[in-house]
Amino acid sequence: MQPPIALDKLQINRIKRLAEIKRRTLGFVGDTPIASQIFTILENMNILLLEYPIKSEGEKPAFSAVLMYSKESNEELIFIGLNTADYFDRQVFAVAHELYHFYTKTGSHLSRVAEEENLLAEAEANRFAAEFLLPESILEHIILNEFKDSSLKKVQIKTLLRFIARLQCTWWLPYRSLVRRLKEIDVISNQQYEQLYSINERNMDEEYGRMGRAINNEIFLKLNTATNNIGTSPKDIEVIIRNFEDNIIDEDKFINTLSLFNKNPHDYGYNIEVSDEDANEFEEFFNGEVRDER
Amino acid sequence: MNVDLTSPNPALISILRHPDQTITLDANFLIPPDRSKYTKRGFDFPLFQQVWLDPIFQAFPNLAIHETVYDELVMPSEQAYIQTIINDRPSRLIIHKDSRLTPEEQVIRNSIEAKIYPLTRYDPLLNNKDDRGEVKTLAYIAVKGLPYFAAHDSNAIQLIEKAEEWSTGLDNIQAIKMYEIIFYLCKTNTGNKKALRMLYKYQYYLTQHEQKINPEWGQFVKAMETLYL
Repeated sequence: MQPPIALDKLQINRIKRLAEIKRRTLGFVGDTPIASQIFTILENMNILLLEYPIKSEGEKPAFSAVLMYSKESNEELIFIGLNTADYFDRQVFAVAHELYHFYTKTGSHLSRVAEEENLLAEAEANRFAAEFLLPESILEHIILNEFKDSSLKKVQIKTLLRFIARLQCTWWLPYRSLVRRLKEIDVISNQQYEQLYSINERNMDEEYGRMGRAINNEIFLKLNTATNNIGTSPKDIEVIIRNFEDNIIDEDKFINTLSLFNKNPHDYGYNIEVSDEDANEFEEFFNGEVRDER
Repeated sequence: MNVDLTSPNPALISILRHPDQTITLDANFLIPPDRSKYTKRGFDFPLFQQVWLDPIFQAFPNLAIHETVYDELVMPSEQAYIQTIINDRPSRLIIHKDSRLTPEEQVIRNSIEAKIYPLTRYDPLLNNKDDRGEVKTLAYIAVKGLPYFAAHDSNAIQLIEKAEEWSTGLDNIQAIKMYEIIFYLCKTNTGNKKALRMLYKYQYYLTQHEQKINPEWGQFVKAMETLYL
């Protein structure tokens, strides 16, 4: 296991401050989890979300998410392309990670799961994502409130696993991110960290998987599932429909564009069908002599 | 695609009076329409040639295409037909070539292309085939002052009709749509009327949605006669 790049106190403070400001600006005050609201945040920020599953090939890790900018006339379009072949909790984390790149710099950015972790910017983005989804001050407050102690170094592994599973179901962070977080704020020991990090958290039949399902079956399974969604937000689909209604795209392009997102016109009240009578008329026409009718 | 009968198209009025003017065609005027996702079959090339290509080359002596549009003809039957038309003496199809532009015209062409391509799927850096024909064609005819572009592609038509709003630099170009040429052929008795009616139906009045927004053939002809005759 390669140790993650260490951020200094100044860098961490800057990231925490940024996450705090952004959370507050978006209306997440105190111990309100962002969780599923991350996708609504993108919509409110006019960031277009394009979901597509891209499986990893061999050893090479597939990308988690990509941030792209496109400028047309004077209007800047911002997209986040999200790899939905990844587990859902990692999708949530990847979106928060990309938001850091959006807030702090311009230009396209491709995030890969592991290979770039040693890069400083990636470490910062990961820390931001963790802080944005679950602020450190709130995590410390939860620990103190629950264990009546600011340290978990004397807590047994089973108790820690249950605690992490509960955190996961509320704050929608990946298991490994939470474990790393507990280490970063120095509430668990190196030994605990290595023990927690070595489990297979995705196996639903193993201890952690069983605990998670017992705590909140629906959410835990959702977080541990690769959604493989193909789609975009309803707002973006609406742009496609409006383009069709305003005759900017024709019927055939309308069908083809919607099909990219596994949708069809019928879903939105448009019947793009040909009557049997007309179909038969064409069949006769294509098969027969073209006699004139002048 | 929408049939707009709200006002007469000045380009069609001009063509009705002087059919010998240069009309530049988009590739989709030369390729059999394929809507086989709705009907079991589409137009095959021999039928399309009989119904559409032979009549338009008979009716208009100065049809033109840009050289990149020729590259979009992928089927041997399409290429062979167009090659025959080009090889006829005198040639019955004008080929617009960028190499014939003067250095000054080339600069203007490039600036127009730069305005158009972001509104299409074409990217000059990639030189991809998507929409390349229409971008190159429109940039060329805008520089040369050739006003008529005939197309059956809503995006290409929008580039012209929304020239001012979208700042495409195509303000002096006028679009001629396929249904306008169908009407022309019908009224000048060029081609088979039943076949033209079926082509109109296939392109504009096929699906339930199109039957709601567009007129059926009889109403279409009547409305066009009111507008143009």
